[in-house]
Amino acid sequence: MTSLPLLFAAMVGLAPLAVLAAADAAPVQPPSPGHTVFVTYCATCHGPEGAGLIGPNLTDTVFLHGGTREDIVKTISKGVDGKGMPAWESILNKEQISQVADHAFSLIGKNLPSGMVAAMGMTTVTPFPKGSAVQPLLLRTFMPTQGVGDEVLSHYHRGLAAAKYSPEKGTDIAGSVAPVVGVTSGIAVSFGDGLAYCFDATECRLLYTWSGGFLDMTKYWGAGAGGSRAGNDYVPVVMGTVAYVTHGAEPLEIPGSTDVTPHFTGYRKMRGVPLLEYRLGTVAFTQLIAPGAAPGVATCAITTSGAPKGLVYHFDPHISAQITCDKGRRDGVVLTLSAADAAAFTLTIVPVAR
Amino acid sequence: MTYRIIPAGFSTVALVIALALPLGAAESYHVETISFPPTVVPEIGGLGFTSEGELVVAMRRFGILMAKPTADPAAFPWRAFSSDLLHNICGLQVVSKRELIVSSMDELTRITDGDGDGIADSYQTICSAWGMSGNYHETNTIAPDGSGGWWMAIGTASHNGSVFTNTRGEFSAIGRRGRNFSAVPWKGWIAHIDAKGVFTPWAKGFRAPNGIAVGPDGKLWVTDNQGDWRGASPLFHIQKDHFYGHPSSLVWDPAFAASGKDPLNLPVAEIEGMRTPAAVEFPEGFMCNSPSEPIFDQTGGRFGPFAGQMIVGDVAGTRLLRVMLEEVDGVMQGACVQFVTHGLRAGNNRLIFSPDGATLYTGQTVRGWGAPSESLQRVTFTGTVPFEVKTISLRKDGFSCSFTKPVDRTAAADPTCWKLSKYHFGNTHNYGSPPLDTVALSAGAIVVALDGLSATVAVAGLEPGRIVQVDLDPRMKSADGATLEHPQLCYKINRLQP
Repeated sequence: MTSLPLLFAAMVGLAPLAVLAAADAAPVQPPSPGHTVFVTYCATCHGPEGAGLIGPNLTDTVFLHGGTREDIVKTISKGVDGKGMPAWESILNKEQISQVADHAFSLIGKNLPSGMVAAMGMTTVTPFPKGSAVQPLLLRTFMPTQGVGDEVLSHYHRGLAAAKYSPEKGTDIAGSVAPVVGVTSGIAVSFGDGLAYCFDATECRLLYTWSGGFLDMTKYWGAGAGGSRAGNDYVPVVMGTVAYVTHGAEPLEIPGSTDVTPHFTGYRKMRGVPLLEYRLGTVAFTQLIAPGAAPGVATCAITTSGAPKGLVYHFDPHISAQITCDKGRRDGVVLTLSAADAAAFTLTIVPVAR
Repeated sequence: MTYRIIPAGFSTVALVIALALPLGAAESYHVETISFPPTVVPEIGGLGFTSEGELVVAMRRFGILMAKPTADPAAFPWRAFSSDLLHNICGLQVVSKRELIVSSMDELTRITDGDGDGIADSYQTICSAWGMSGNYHETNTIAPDGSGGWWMAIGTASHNGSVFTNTRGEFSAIGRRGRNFSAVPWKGWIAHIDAKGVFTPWAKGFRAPNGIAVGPDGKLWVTDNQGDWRGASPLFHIQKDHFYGHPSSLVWDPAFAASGKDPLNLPVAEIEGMRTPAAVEFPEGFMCNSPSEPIFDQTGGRFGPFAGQMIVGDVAGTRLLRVMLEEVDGVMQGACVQFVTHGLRAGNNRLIFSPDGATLYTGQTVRGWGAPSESLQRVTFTGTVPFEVKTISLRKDGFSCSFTKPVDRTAAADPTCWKLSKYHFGNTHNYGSPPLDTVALSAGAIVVALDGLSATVAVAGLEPGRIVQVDLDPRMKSADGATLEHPQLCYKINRLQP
């Protein structure tokens, strides 16, 4: 396999960005049943958009096995001997085949550039993974702090420098090894060029957002198709323009409760978008972070349960972003959310040029 | 347009298979490389099968794929169950096609497909009670406990990497010291996690325990990797509260911490006195460089003549190992021997049997420990029985061996066909150990069964704490002229037969 990734790496520079930007701007629509079947079974070979990967591009008008809907149903059902196309009738039922045939038929004529070129530079085959608005990518990994301080990372412990150790002698020797600046519990999500964010599962908090790229994983995954870590620092590099960086202690206050200890409990996918789930003390939260109207803008749709006295949100004046809320009463830097408001509210974070 | 990409390594593998087999010999185990879509780098951290017969492959850099295996290794109908990249998936349990348990660097996660559309939609944290220092080396692996919970083996960090300014879990400055270190909780421990996610530290003293399995009799087994305080890679029978020799983990043992001692400065003799010895040791080089997941052959013979035995992968070698265990005087011990040594790539990290038992899948990744070898291969028993030592057992006066086919009785009865030696490995701060105090042993009286399927050999000078290496001479062929495929065995004596 070694020759392939090199080829794909060489293609990174050729990725047609216009296509990806268009995908980023597309609104999130409920997928058709055929699209769901396609993403599940077909996208690994034909690409998420049908533009082809190891399997052919389905969006052009070159028909290898017939271009009528009937032909498509037959090709899907029976497969193509010697071409790696399985006979899906042993795996999918008739309704699913019909649905996915509808979807494939709808792709004809879109004439998307070859997915092989478009996708390889942006997949996890390279150290430059990337999602899109249609298919966000979630990556749990070590992450950089982007300068957030100890007051943000208050539930982490502090890693300290250690004496240098000589494996040959079996003893400490002169000098010390400094800790690397990073957090261990990052959940990084890419919506393409429009938005990426880093939520921290130890703090249960959105640490920062950015736009115009995602992550360079070379230090952790290795170069090219990787396998070998590159050096002793595994912190990915944020690619693009940082939009928002949190600051200060936990901004949420729970009236009547001093316990805001974070417990990350998991996440669910809502049409491919992560819905983060956690508790602060006894209050259960969900948070769905999504791209806003412009690059770098994030909307954070938050629900809570178990906050009978509502919530108070303290805006930190050090943050270079405009944060607004669709609910509650704002008085200067304090936003008061009644119990009803706190049940479901949305924060919109708009970066302000620094 | 259409094209088909055949992995460049594929024809090479076929060539290697052809070259590795003696001319004219029918192969007993056929090795194939499974193709993935080009969007997938298969750094495999977990393998499993659903009850419907779909293979589940959990990867570090893609997510989780499923496919019903096809006869053509290049035509698996892969579907993406999850495209989320969890933090270095290290272990997998398949509950059903809609529910998987995955261990990653940071947590044990229940992944479910609630609406049954074939795509995971819920990732719930079961447990994250161990720390994360930020070091790349702190991998783990899991085995279901049979009661809805799990056993987890948690590796230490490596001095080839640092720690972060922000660690999840308490940071221990004493634990941070040394070659492989335990700067945050439960690195170098085996833990139990119950069905509700309650985490209980169970045993300590591990370095890089990259394999864990529960045997058919309920015994818990863990492999560990050669390095500091590991003269050779061991296989341990795990017992509650026992200490298995790597001192860094002791910083998280309250009783040890109360003693005020520095684990790294314990005298070697004191550590030796505390440790539970390995049941089996895999000498580096000719046997195994980096043992990984153990799996018991419970196929009832569908995978060949070694039913009931343990098979272990080698991450740093292009091979699988076979382990023959027995209980002697209440203690587990036994022997290792190479098993499949042709056609395999390195990185043999996770193993799973196909539902029909005839095929063993080996998920491969080297993930920074050596030259990349990210792949999935399968090993299928062809029905042709290989000529091998089937079992070896300790007797009061030596060993008894059984063979998979009748042995040439004349050769087997010749003491010069049995080359024997004993040695041990030192466990110090040094990385690994050469064989120490090697002594040649002599084969005494040999009795070969009339059917040629077994033999006993008397050996004087056996002693506990020693590995007996048996090198069978190439003259020791089967009665029908087959060469012994793997003639080197290493039996670890913990106890002599009472």
